[in-house]
Amino acid sequence: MVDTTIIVGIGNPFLGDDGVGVVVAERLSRRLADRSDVTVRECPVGGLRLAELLVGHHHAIIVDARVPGDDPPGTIHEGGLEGCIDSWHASCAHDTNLPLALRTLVGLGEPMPADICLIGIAAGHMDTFSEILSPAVAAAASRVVDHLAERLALAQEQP
Amino acid sequence: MSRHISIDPVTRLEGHGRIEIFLDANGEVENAYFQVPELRGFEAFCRGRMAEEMPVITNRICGVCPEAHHMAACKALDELYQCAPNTAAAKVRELLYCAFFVTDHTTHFYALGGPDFIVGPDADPKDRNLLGVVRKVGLDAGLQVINCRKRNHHIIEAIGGRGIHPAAGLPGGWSKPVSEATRIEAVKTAQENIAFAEWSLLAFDRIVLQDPVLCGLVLGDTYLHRTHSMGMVDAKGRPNFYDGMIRVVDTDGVELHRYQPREYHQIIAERVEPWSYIKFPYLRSKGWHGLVDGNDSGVYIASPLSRLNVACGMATPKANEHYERFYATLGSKRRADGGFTPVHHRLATHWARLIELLYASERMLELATDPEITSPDVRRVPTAGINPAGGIGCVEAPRGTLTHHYEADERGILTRVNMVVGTTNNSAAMAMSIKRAAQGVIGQGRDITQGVLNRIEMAFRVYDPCLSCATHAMPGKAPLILTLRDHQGTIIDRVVRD
Repeated sequence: MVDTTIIVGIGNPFLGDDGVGVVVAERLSRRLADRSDVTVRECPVGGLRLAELLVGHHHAIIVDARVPGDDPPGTIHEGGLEGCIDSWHASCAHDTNLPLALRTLVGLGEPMPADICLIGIAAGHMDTFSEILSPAVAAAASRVVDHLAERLALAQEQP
Repeated sequence: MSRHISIDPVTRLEGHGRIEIFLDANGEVENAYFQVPELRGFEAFCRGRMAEEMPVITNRICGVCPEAHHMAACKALDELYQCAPNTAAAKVRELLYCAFFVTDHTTHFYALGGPDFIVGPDADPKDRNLLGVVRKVGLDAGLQVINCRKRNHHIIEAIGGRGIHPAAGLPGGWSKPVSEATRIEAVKTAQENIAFAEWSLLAFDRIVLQDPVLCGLVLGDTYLHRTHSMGMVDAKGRPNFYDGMIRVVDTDGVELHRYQPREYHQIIAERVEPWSYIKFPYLRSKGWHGLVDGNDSGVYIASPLSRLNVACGMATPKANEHYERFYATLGSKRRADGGFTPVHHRLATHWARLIELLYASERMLELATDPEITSPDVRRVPTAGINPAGGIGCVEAPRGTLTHHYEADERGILTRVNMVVGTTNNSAAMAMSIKRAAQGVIGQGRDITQGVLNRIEMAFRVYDPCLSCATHAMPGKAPLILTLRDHQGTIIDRVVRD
């Protein structure tokens, strides 16, 4: 049985840098169109909706904008679920956060990915409607697309 | 010395989306405000675009209710292009919309609002969530929730063309007919939805209504507000999520308005307050008298509770039985129009939401078994040109009446866009409910505990406010921060839950 990978870009493509995950997903979707073992999706929200997309896949890669904090826009963070701080009750998020959603689905017997990679790109602006990424974030999006395409090509060569 | 409490439940954007509570010199709650993130420039973003893009643009405003925006946009375009859909197309739209309502109400009840009751309002936050519900009620509850979402998402994708952002809506109808295979699947889905909704109502009865403490919480004064109620109704005054007139009743259930969505600006005015980016709609006929409730106030709500309050009954039999029981249990009196005097206990909204879940399921079955639902004729092509008066589309979103208003030039280029979204309708009521809850649980020397924080959260959670930009932030954190400050801004205490 072939291992399958899902890549999910999260965000709103009409909300400036908030949409960088979706931009990455769109580009990867074209670039990886011939890969039957790779599914690329976009998702506007986290929580259950995101977790449900991952069901049945062996590996998952999630790309999203990050609140920049002290990092300059375009800074790329990559890690596993341990980088996804647990919130126990997402009070205004309509359902829950990703770790809890995943634990729920695992508890219900759903087949979830063995590994989940989270890639966050520090955003510059996310509060003004726009389809334009700030330059540093656009550059980061290109780096992430190249990086993931190469990684998946490598994985295909060395299963 | 006055003190300032800040609760920040959605810190995706630092300093946005928070509850501000001000204490007086005696430590009692003096005032409370609910602030939401400012997302700038939507009208400017839309102006100059082709109007027909709006169903696929606006459904990305909100990651949680894209179906509501898609549908309101389609209806606004129907008017703008002067091309009403035929009955088959309207039924297809409504069928998808009922499936959406089922998923949304299910998710809110089991993942967000329900845990306060099922797990308990004072339970450890680590347990007060969907997983806690599963642990308390059993694996079957979780499976039912996930399976409900799964089967209805599949229907939405089959009818809407895409799973997350439906794309099939067009001015004058729908881009593709419903296949027989999808219809059969929709019938089965609706039947399962009905069973699930009844099971949920039974669970609510057993867990909440038969528990004196939780029932007392629902019926107590902490979450009580007497405001006017708004909701969309059919020709018989029964709730309909997709189409109808907007009815407003006062705090006693007397009809104040019954108007076509096109007339919304004659009924609703919007006010801006200096402390919040969110607008505060109110009834023009009553005027703005501040954040006060009562029959003289202009404040209204648009929610599952208000939709039942304006109703003269439910259009489907099982939902109507529960509607009757709802008002009988909560002590309302029968109105001359067949409805009941309004319920103002805000926590009863969760019960109302489950009744709507049942209604949406039954209505879905009606539509899926309608011979017209598989009609191949689901689109009229607009030929009359652009309506110079613009187009206004209105649906009931799960969290309130949603109105889209577009104006365009003769080429169909947008010149003006305005929206009154579900959450906005409730902005004044939410601020008042938070204040009332805070007054009930803070002060008199009481410690501010996690349970206290949660009981304040519960006041706005019933409205399920939609701060869409806050929903998918990595690292997936929605902490609750409460800060006590003196009148000079100095922090004197801080409680963080993350």
